[in-house]
Amino acid sequence: MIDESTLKGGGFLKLRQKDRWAVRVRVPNGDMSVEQLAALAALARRFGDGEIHLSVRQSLEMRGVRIEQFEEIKAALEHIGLGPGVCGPRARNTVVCPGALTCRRGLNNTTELADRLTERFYAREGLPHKFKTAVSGCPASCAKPQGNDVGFMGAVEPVFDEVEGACIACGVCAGVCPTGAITLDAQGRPVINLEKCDRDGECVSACPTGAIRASKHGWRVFLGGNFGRHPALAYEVGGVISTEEAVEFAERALEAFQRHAQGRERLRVVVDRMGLDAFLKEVRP
Amino acid sequence: MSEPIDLRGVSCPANYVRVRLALEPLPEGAEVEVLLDAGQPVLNVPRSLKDDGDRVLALEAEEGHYRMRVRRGGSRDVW
Repeated sequence: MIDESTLKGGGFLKLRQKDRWAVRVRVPNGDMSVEQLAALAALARRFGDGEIHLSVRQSLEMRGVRIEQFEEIKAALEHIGLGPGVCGPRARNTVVCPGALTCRRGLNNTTELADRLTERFYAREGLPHKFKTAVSGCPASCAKPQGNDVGFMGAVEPVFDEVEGACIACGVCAGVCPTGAITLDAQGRPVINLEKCDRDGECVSACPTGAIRASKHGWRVFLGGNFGRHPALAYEVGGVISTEEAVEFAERALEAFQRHAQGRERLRVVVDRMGLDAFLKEVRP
Repeated sequence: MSEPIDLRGVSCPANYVRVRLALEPLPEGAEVEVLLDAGQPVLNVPRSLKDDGDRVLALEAEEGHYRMRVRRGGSRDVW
Protein backbone atom coordinates (compact mmCIF):
# COMPACT_ATOMS: atom_id res chain seq x y z
CA MET A 1 0.00 0.00 0.00
CA ILE A 2 1.25 3.47 -0.85
CA ASP A 3 1.57 5.77 2.14
CA GLU A 4 0.19 9.26 2.08
CA SER A 5 3.52 11.12 2.09
CA THR A 6 4.77 9.20 -0.96
CA LEU A 7 1.59 10.20 -2.70
CA LYS A 8 2.08 13.80 -1.74
CA GLY A 9 5.59 13.87 -3.14
CA GLY A 10 4.18 12.57 -6.36
CA GLY A 11 1.62 15.31 -6.62
CA PHE A 12 -1.36 13.42 -5.20
CA LEU A 13 -3.53 15.48 -2.87
CA LYS A 14 -6.24 14.11 -0.61
CA LEU A 15 -9.61 15.67 -1.29
CA ARG A 16 -12.38 16.30 1.17
CA GLN A 17 -14.43 13.57 -0.51
CA LYS A 18 -13.95 10.09 0.92
CA ASP A 19 -11.35 7.99 -0.96
CA ARG A 20 -10.95 10.66 -3.60
CA TRP A 21 -7.71 12.33 -4.62
CA ALA A 22 -6.49 14.93 -7.04
CA VAL A 23 -3.46 14.37 -9.23
CA ARG A 24 -1.40 17.46 -9.83
CA VAL A 25 0.10 17.45 -13.31
CA ARG A 26 3.15 19.57 -13.97
CA VAL A 27 2.83 21.63 -17.14
CA PRO A 28 6.41 22.54 -18.09
CA ASN A 29 6.60 26.30 -18.69
CA GLY A 30 2.81 26.38 -18.89
CA ASP A 31 2.96 24.95 -22.40
CA MET A 32 1.07 21.91 -23.67
CA SER A 33 0.42 20.61 -27.15
CA VAL A 34 -3.18 20.07 -28.19
CA GLU A 35 -2.40 16.35 -28.37
CA GLN A 36 -1.30 16.39 -24.71
CA LEU A 37 -4.39 18.36 -23.74
CA ALA A 38 -6.68 15.94 -25.53
CA ALA A 39 -4.89 12.97 -23.96
CA LEU A 40 -5.10 14.55 -20.52
CA ALA A 41 -8.81 15.17 -21.02
CA ALA A 42 -9.25 11.50 -21.83
CA LEU A 43 -7.33 10.55 -18.65
CA ALA A 44 -9.50 12.84 -16.54
CA ARG A 45 -12.56 11.17 -17.97
CA ARG A 46 -11.15 7.70 -17.41
CA PHE A 47 -9.64 8.12 -13.92
CA GLY A 48 -11.21 11.24 -12.48
CA ASP A 49 -14.55 12.95 -12.23
CA GLY A 50 -14.31 14.45 -15.70
CA GLU A 51 -13.10 17.86 -14.60
CA ILE A 52 -9.66 19.46 -14.69
CA HIS A 53 -8.71 22.25 -12.32
CA LEU A 54 -6.22 24.95 -13.27
CA SER A 55 -4.00 25.65 -10.25
CA VAL A 56 -2.63 29.08 -9.46
CA ARG A 57 0.93 27.91 -10.21
CA GLN A 58 0.56 26.64 -13.76
CA SER A 59 -0.34 23.07 -12.90
CA LEU A 60 -3.43 21.13 -13.90
CA GLU A 61 -5.21 18.94 -11.39
CA MET A 62 -7.32 15.94 -12.26
CA ARG A 63 -9.81 15.50 -9.49
CA GLY A 64 -11.67 12.57 -8.09
CA VAL A 65 -9.14 9.81 -8.76
CA ARG A 66 -8.65 6.76 -6.53
CA ILE A 67 -5.46 5.91 -4.73
CA GLU A 68 -5.23 2.44 -6.28
CA GLN A 69 -4.81 4.10 -9.67
CA PHE A 70 -1.58 5.87 -8.65
CA GLU A 71 0.89 3.83 -10.70
CA GLU A 72 -1.41 3.53 -13.67
CA ILE A 73 -1.99 7.29 -13.83
CA LYS A 74 1.71 8.03 -13.46
CA ALA A 75 2.51 5.71 -16.35
CA ALA A 76 -0.27 7.18 -18.47
CA LEU A 77 1.05 10.70 -17.85
CA GLU A 78 4.58 9.66 -18.75
CA HIS A 79 3.23 8.16 -21.93
CA ILE A 80 2.07 11.62 -23.05
CA GLY A 81 5.25 13.39 -21.95
CA LEU A 82 3.83 14.75 -18.70
CA GLY A 83 4.39 13.88 -15.07
CA PRO A 84 2.99 14.51 -11.64
CA GLY A 85 3.63 17.83 -9.95
CA VAL A 86 5.00 18.09 -6.43
CA CYS A 87 3.58 19.32 -3.14
CA GLY A 88 4.90 19.51 0.41
CA PRO A 89 8.37 20.60 1.55
CA ARG A 90 10.02 20.26 -1.82
CA ALA A 91 11.37 22.40 -4.65
CA ARG A 92 8.23 23.25 -6.58
CA ASN A 93 7.69 23.86 -10.25
CA THR A 94 9.08 27.10 -11.62
CA VAL A 95 6.32 29.48 -12.65
CA VAL A 96 7.24 31.20 -15.89
CA CYS A 97 5.80 33.74 -18.31
CA PRO A 98 6.09 33.21 -22.08
CA GLY A 99 9.06 35.60 -22.28
CA ALA A 100 10.84 36.79 -25.38
CA LEU A 101 9.92 33.77 -27.48
CA THR A 102 6.43 35.16 -28.04
CA CYS A 103 5.74 38.14 -25.78
CA ARG A 104 6.46 41.54 -27.28
CA ARG A 105 7.55 42.87 -23.90
CA GLY A 106 9.74 39.91 -23.04
CA LEU A 107 13.43 40.74 -22.76
CA ASN A 108 14.74 37.24 -22.15
CA ASN A 109 14.21 33.60 -22.97
CA THR A 110 12.41 32.71 -19.76
CA THR A 111 11.75 29.07 -20.55
CA GLU A 112 15.45 28.35 -21.00
CA LEU A 113 16.18 29.53 -17.45
CA ALA A 114 13.10 27.76 -16.09
CA ASP A 115 14.19 24.51 -17.76
CA ARG A 116 17.65 24.86 -16.26
CA LEU A 117 16.22 25.44 -12.77
CA THR A 118 13.90 22.47 -13.22
CA GLU A 119 16.73 20.24 -14.36
CA ARG A 120 18.84 21.32 -11.39
CA PHE A 121 16.50 20.92 -8.43
CA TYR A 122 12.84 20.40 -9.31
CA ALA A 123 11.13 18.12 -6.76
CA ARG A 124 14.22 18.03 -4.53
CA GLU A 125 13.25 16.58 -1.15
CA GLY A 126 14.35 17.02 2.43
CA LEU A 127 13.74 20.78 2.51
CA PRO A 128 12.57 22.62 5.63
CA HIS A 129 9.53 23.92 3.76
CA LYS A 130 8.34 24.52 0.24
CA PHE A 131 10.72 26.32 -2.11
CA LYS A 132 9.17 28.24 -4.96
CA THR A 133 10.77 29.86 -7.96
CA ALA A 134 9.52 32.08 -10.76
CA VAL A 135 10.94 33.57 -13.92
CA SER A 136 9.51 36.69 -15.53
CA GLY A 137 10.72 38.08 -18.83
CA CYS A 138 10.50 41.76 -17.91
CA PRO A 139 9.63 44.15 -15.09
CA ALA A 140 5.91 43.78 -15.80
CA SER A 141 6.41 40.76 -13.50
CA CYS A 142 3.56 38.63 -14.80
CA ALA A 143 5.19 35.54 -13.26
CA LYS A 144 5.58 37.40 -9.92
CA PRO A 145 9.29 36.89 -9.22
CA GLN A 146 8.91 39.08 -6.11
CA GLY A 147 6.40 36.62 -4.63
CA ASN A 148 8.64 33.57 -4.72
CA ASP A 149 11.50 32.26 -2.58
CA VAL A 150 13.81 32.93 -5.51
CA GLY A 151 12.68 34.90 -8.54
CA PHE A 152 14.31 36.21 -11.68
CA MET A 153 13.24 39.09 -13.91
CA GLY A 154 14.49 39.87 -17.41
CA ALA A 155 16.59 43.03 -17.37
CA VAL A 156 18.36 45.32 -19.80
CA GLU A 157 20.61 47.93 -18.23
CA PRO A 158 21.03 51.02 -20.42
CA VAL A 159 24.10 53.14 -20.95
CA PHE A 160 24.25 56.41 -22.87
CA ASP A 161 27.66 56.32 -24.52
CA GLU A 162 26.95 56.92 -28.24
CA VAL A 163 29.15 53.95 -29.18
CA GLU A 164 26.59 52.63 -31.65
CA GLY A 165 25.30 55.98 -32.91
CA ALA A 166 25.25 59.66 -32.08
CA CYS A 167 22.48 61.26 -30.04
CA ILE A 168 20.13 63.46 -32.06
CA ALA A 169 18.51 64.99 -28.97
CA CYS A 170 15.03 63.77 -29.91
CA GLY A 171 14.00 63.16 -26.29
CA VAL A 172 12.16 59.94 -27.12
CA CYS A 173 14.09 58.05 -24.42
CA ALA A 174 12.83 60.38 -21.68
CA GLY A 175 9.30 60.08 -23.03
CA VAL A 176 9.32 56.31 -23.14
CA CYS A 177 10.89 55.64 -19.73
CA PRO A 178 8.12 54.37 -17.42
CA THR A 179 10.00 55.18 -14.22
CA GLY A 180 11.13 58.72 -14.94
CA ALA A 181 14.77 57.67 -14.78
CA ILE A 182 15.80 59.77 -17.78
CA THR A 183 16.06 63.54 -17.76
CA LEU A 184 17.32 65.69 -20.61
CA ASP A 185 20.17 68.14 -20.18
CA ALA A 186 20.29 71.65 -21.67
CA GLN A 187 21.29 70.19 -25.06
CA GLY A 188 18.38 67.71 -24.94
CA ARG A 189 20.70 64.78 -24.30
CA PRO A 190 19.69 62.05 -21.84
CA VAL A 191 20.98 61.66 -18.30
CA ILE A 192 20.11 58.20 -16.97
CA ASN A 193 19.57 57.73 -13.25
CA LEU A 194 20.16 54.00 -12.67
CA GLU A 195 18.76 54.30 -9.15
CA LYS A 196 15.33 54.92 -10.67
CA CYS A 197 15.77 52.66 -13.71
CA ASP A 198 13.84 49.37 -13.66
CA ARG A 199 15.91 47.86 -16.51
CA ASP A 200 12.99 47.32 -18.84
CA GLY A 201 15.09 48.28 -21.87
CA GLU A 202 12.46 50.62 -23.33
CA CYS A 203 14.95 53.43 -23.91
CA VAL A 204 17.40 51.06 -25.59
CA SER A 205 14.83 49.82 -28.05
CA ALA A 206 13.21 53.24 -28.58
CA CYS A 207 16.45 55.15 -29.19
CA PRO A 208 16.40 55.73 -32.94
CA THR A 209 20.17 55.90 -33.31
CA GLY A 210 21.60 53.46 -30.77
CA ALA A 211 23.12 56.27 -28.70
CA ILE A 212 21.61 54.46 -25.71
CA ARG A 213 22.55 50.80 -25.77
CA ALA A 214 22.42 47.85 -23.38
CA SER A 215 25.44 47.65 -21.08
CA LYS A 216 24.07 44.51 -19.40
CA HIS A 217 21.41 42.03 -20.44
CA GLY A 218 20.38 39.32 -18.01
CA TRP A 219 18.36 38.82 -14.86
CA ARG A 220 17.47 40.86 -11.82
CA VAL A 221 17.40 38.64 -8.73
CA PHE A 222 14.78 38.43 -5.98
CA LEU A 223 15.09 36.50 -2.73
CA GLY A 224 12.72 35.65 0.09
CA GLY A 225 9.34 36.52 -1.31
CA ASN A 226 6.27 34.51 -0.43
CA PHE A 227 2.53 34.65 -0.05
CA GLY A 228 0.76 32.35 2.38
CA ARG A 229 -0.13 33.51 5.88
CA HIS A 230 2.58 36.11 6.09
CA PRO A 231 2.92 37.63 2.65
CA ALA A 232 6.17 39.43 1.95
CA LEU A 233 7.64 40.77 -1.23
CA ALA A 234 11.15 39.57 -1.95
CA TYR A 235 14.34 41.50 -1.37
CA GLU A 236 16.10 42.48 -4.55
CA VAL A 237 19.63 41.21 -4.41
CA GLY A 238 21.11 43.72 -6.85
CA GLY A 239 22.90 43.52 -10.17
CA VAL A 240 22.06 41.91 -13.47
CA ILE A 241 23.34 38.34 -13.86
CA SER A 242 23.56 35.74 -16.61
CA THR A 243 21.40 32.64 -16.99
CA GLU A 244 24.31 30.50 -15.82
CA GLU A 245 24.79 32.66 -12.72
CA ALA A 246 21.05 32.64 -12.04
CA VAL A 247 20.97 28.84 -11.91
CA GLU A 248 23.95 28.81 -9.52
CA PHE A 249 22.40 31.52 -7.35
CA ALA A 250 19.12 29.63 -7.02
CA GLU A 251 20.81 26.38 -6.13
CA ARG A 252 23.10 27.97 -3.52
CA ALA A 253 20.14 29.83 -2.02
CA LEU A 254 18.31 26.51 -1.77
CA GLU A 255 21.30 24.91 -0.05
CA ALA A 256 21.75 27.82 2.37
CA PHE A 257 18.03 27.57 3.16
CA GLN A 258 18.50 23.88 4.03
CA ARG A 259 21.55 24.58 6.19
CA HIS A 260 20.08 27.43 8.21
CA ALA A 261 16.36 26.81 8.61
CA GLN A 262 15.30 25.97 12.15
CA GLY A 263 12.48 23.53 11.71
CA ARG A 264 9.68 24.24 9.32
CA GLU A 265 10.51 27.76 8.14
CA ARG A 266 10.06 29.49 4.82
CA LEU A 267 13.18 31.01 3.32
CA ARG A 268 12.04 34.51 4.21
CA VAL A 269 12.05 33.73 7.92
CA VAL A 270 15.59 32.39 7.67
CA VAL A 271 16.79 35.44 5.74
CA ASP A 272 15.21 37.84 8.21
CA ARG A 273 16.67 36.04 11.21
CA MET A 274 20.17 35.96 9.75
CA GLY A 275 20.00 39.31 8.02
CA LEU A 276 20.04 39.65 4.25
CA ASP A 277 23.77 40.35 3.99
CA ALA A 278 24.72 37.39 6.17
CA PHE A 279 22.47 35.08 4.18
CA LEU A 280 23.90 36.35 0.89
CA LYS A 281 27.42 35.59 2.13
CA GLU A 282 26.33 31.97 2.31
CA VAL A 283 24.92 32.14 -1.19
CA ARG A 284 27.77 33.83 -3.00
CA PRO A 285 30.87 33.59 -0.84
CA MET B 1 14.49 67.49 -50.08
CA SER B 2 10.93 66.93 -51.27
CA GLU B 3 7.77 67.39 -49.21
CA PRO B 4 7.66 65.39 -45.97
CA ILE B 5 5.55 62.24 -45.87
CA ASP B 6 2.71 63.30 -43.63
CA LEU B 7 1.75 60.38 -41.41
CA ARG B 8 -0.15 62.38 -38.85
CA GLY B 9 -3.34 60.49 -38.05
CA VAL B 10 -1.93 57.25 -39.49
CA SER B 11 -1.68 54.61 -36.81
CA CYS B 12 0.78 51.76 -36.25
CA PRO B 13 1.83 49.72 -38.08
CA ALA B 14 0.47 51.41 -41.24
CA ASN B 15 2.71 54.44 -40.65
CA TYR B 16 5.83 52.26 -40.54
CA VAL B 17 4.74 50.41 -43.68
CA ARG B 18 4.28 53.71 -45.51
CA VAL B 19 7.82 54.83 -44.60
CA ARG B 20 9.22 51.44 -45.58
CA LEU B 21 7.46 51.62 -48.96
CA ALA B 22 8.76 55.15 -49.49
CA LEU B 23 12.35 54.12 -48.73
CA GLU B 24 12.38 50.87 -50.61
CA PRO B 25 12.75 52.19 -54.22
CA LEU B 26 15.39 54.74 -53.17
CA PRO B 27 19.13 54.12 -53.32
CA GLU B 28 21.16 53.54 -50.16
CA GLY B 29 21.89 56.83 -48.44
CA ALA B 30 18.76 58.59 -49.71
CA GLU B 31 16.92 60.62 -47.12
CA VAL B 32 13.24 61.21 -46.51
CA GLU B 33 11.40 63.42 -44.08
CA VAL B 34 8.37 62.14 -42.20
CA LEU B 35 5.80 63.67 -39.88
CA LEU B 36 4.79 61.29 -37.12
CA ASP B 37 2.31 61.59 -34.29
CA ALA B 38 3.55 61.71 -30.72
CA GLY B 39 2.79 58.66 -28.57
CA GLN B 40 3.03 55.16 -30.05
CA PRO B 41 3.97 56.25 -33.61
CA VAL B 42 7.11 58.12 -32.55
CA LEU B 43 8.13 55.21 -30.33
CA ASN B 44 7.46 52.44 -32.81
CA VAL B 45 8.37 53.75 -36.24
CA PRO B 46 11.96 54.89 -35.50
CA ARG B 47 12.75 51.64 -33.67
CA SER B 48 11.41 49.55 -36.55
CA LEU B 49 13.52 51.53 -39.03
CA LYS B 50 16.56 51.12 -36.80
CA ASP B 51 15.93 47.36 -36.73
CA ASP B 52 15.76 47.38 -40.54
CA GLY B 53 19.17 49.03 -40.74
CA ASP B 54 18.05 52.54 -41.67
CA ARG B 55 19.43 55.49 -39.82
CA VAL B 56 17.30 58.09 -38.06
CA LEU B 57 19.20 61.35 -38.49
CA ALA B 58 16.85 63.71 -36.72
CA LEU B 59 13.69 63.51 -34.72
CA GLU B 60 12.32 66.78 -33.48
CA ALA B 61 9.19 67.56 -31.54
CA GLU B 62 6.86 70.05 -33.19
CA GLU B 63 3.38 70.95 -32.07
CA GLY B 64 1.59 67.66 -31.41
CA HIS B 65 3.82 65.64 -33.70
CA TYR B 66 7.42 64.85 -34.60
CA ARG B 67 9.46 65.57 -37.71
CA MET B 68 11.82 62.70 -38.53
CA ARG B 69 14.59 62.56 -41.08
CA VAL B 70 15.70 59.07 -42.00
CA ARG B 71 18.46 57.77 -44.26
CA ARG B 72 17.92 54.56 -46.12
CA GLY B 73 20.28 51.76 -45.11
CA GLY B 74 21.94 49.18 -47.31
CA SER B 75 20.41 46.04 -48.74
CA ARG B 76 18.54 43.93 -46.27
CA ASP B 77 16.32 40.94 -46.40
CA VAL B 78 13.31 42.33 -44.55
CA TRP B 79 11.31 43.00 -47.71
